[in-house]
Amino acid sequence: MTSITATTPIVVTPNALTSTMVGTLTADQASLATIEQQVSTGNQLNVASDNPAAAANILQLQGSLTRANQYSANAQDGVGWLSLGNSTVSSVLSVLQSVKSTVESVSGAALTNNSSTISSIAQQVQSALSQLLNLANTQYEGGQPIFAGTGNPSVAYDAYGNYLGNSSAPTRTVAPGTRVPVAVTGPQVFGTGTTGLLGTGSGGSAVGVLQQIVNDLQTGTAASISNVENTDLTNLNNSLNQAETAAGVLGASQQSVEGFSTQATGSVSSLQQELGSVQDTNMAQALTSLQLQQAAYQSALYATSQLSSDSLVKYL
Amino acid sequence: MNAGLSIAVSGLNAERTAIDVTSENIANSQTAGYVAQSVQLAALPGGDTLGVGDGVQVTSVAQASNALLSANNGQAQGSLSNLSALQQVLTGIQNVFPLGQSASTSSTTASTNSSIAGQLSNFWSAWDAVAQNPSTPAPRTEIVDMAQGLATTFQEASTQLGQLASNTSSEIGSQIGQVNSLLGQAASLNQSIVETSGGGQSPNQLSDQLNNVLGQLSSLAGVSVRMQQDGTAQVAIGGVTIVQGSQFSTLATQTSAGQTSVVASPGSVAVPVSSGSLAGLLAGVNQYIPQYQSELDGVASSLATTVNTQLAAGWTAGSAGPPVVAPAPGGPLFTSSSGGAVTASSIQVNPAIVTNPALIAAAGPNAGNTGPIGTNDGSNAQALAELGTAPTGPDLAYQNLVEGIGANTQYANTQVASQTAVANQAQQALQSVSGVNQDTQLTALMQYQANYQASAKLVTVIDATMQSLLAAV
Repeated sequence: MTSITATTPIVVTPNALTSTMVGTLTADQASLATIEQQVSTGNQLNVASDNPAAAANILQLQGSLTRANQYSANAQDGVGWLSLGNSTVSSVLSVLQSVKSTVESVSGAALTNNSSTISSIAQQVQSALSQLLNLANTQYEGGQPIFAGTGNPSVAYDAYGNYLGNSSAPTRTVAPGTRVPVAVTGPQVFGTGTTGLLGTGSGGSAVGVLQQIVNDLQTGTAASISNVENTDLTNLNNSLNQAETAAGVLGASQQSVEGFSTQATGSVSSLQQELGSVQDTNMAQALTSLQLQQAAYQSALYATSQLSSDSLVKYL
Repeated sequence: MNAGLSIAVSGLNAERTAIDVTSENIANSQTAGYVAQSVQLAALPGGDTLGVGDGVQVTSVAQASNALLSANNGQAQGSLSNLSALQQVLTGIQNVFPLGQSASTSSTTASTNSSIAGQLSNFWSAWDAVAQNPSTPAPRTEIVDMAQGLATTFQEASTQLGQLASNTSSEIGSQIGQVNSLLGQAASLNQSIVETSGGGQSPNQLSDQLNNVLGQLSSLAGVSVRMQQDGTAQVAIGGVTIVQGSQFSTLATQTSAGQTSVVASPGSVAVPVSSGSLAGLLAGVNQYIPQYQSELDGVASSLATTVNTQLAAGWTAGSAGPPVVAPAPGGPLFTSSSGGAVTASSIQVNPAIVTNPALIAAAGPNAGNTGPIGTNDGSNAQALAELGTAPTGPDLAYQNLVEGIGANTQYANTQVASQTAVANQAQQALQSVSGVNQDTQLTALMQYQANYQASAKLVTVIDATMQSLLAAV
């Protein structure tokens, strides 16, 4: 008997050949499935094991993105508060301007000792006071008074002109660790006590600037009219200055919050880009490798189909 | 002349046996554990003084086995099964923690994100809504809903890990059952081999069966095999002999202090299984599942601590009435349903806050920490919203968890891929020696056929010669 084995270093048996072929097919099919998943979901990573470091990065970026969106929303809310505050303080200023010009006309009326004019001026000032009290209780969407600080959820001033809020203005977080005030408190606009605008002198409140003018006009004596023209007018001018300062503060805050809003929107889009570059499938690349992988799979299938057709049996 | 005839007959007999063996080889080319056989022929010495022999005889039918390649293959298959089983467990763990990503193009709000990471970032952001409207119930109710959603997600993840552990344990149990049945088969085959050999018969078919059993044992428990002189196999796992001759031990699992181990009885000998699918499953149930369960517990506990600590620094607003409610320091949002430490399975939303979301301490403390800054203050809620991007905390712990399990799974995937190549090569090497190649067998068959025909022709020739002699007489 001649030797029938070991003429070649490796004798390939059909069993070994089959298992190799099946192994190749399985591997090709798995790579094909991975690429198909990348293309169909649009995500480069579908499970953490695809790229663990990138997966952690994606989670972090998603967190930052949600946060940046919230900063943007906070800034929007702040802009809403501040623009309402600005327009309200503008109204306050125009009310005060008209009170001022009315009060300045007192001297002419006093000369002619026209008591009916004086009492109508007193009425105008009185109605301006209640108008200001209304403005001081302006509410933002949802019913929060914008001049109450963080001290009162429903009103800033009671009907007597008593301040019910506190001295800390509400803030919004517009960037990491950055809180900006989105309102000014009532006293910052309207003052307090006898130099304040809103006190009516009843219900526990001090007699404020406007109430003092009304009182003095109603008293109607030469001394009290002179008071209106001097002390009271000075106080009124001071109040006007204070309200103008508050308007300035609100304007500056609004500008700053709008700046932060732009910044937050910018960081949202840059985070989205960054997330996209880590997370999204590069379609051109993925589709090319999909075609290559399909070709490889097809050749493997063809090779397998040819596997057992040739053997010595055919020629015996 | 008579001698020539008998020599020709011996040739015919030998070739017939050889053809039988070839036929047997081809028939068994797909049989697991089958080792190709070949006839060993020897010339029969004759009584003739001239040195003419008595023909040919079949001395044995030999198996083309190779102990080294066979051991290599067993080891490679055991190692592959080990890694594949571990890969399965790790993939199972990884699936508990989905990335839950949506395509970034549509993720202006990540509200569709149901993963723990996505829920956490939405939860933090919801605190800013409370800060914007500290006295409105709606944002507070939303915080409670989100907190409950988070607690449920933690509980579900913990339950899934628990189920994975119990499924893995029952898989270990069923594999131990298979191993025991195979050990019994190996022992009884050992006995049959000894008996068959003792009776002077060939134990080749029994050896093939034994090979098959040993192959399965390698894949399941990574056994090491030492073939004995008498053809029996001595089987050991991790240095502990399990099968010796017709004697075998049975395996069982034993669990103490949360660790599952394998012991052999009789004697309750600890068996360190370090290869085969059992080893992979044991590593999963003893090491990886508890590790990620405890990391998940860590995330839940970090969430509770982070939120509760910040809440404790703030105040509730109270109510001017009626009924009048005094402001109070903030109570915890997350508590443990078991009363112990907060874990992923026990985390719950404080029932008092679920009933009354006004108890969420959204207001910051006043200067003396004697009450809230104001009844409409939301600065503590603002502080809470910023905790999601803090350098420590549940978000980072969860990212680390996902990265860790991802890295472990990726490593297992790579290992399985490379070990598959190793195992395939080992099997091919073994097959190239012990397997059946049809071309080789058919070529041999042609030789045997030709030889048989030649021997048959000899008989005819000798017969013709005898005939002519007889005719001459």
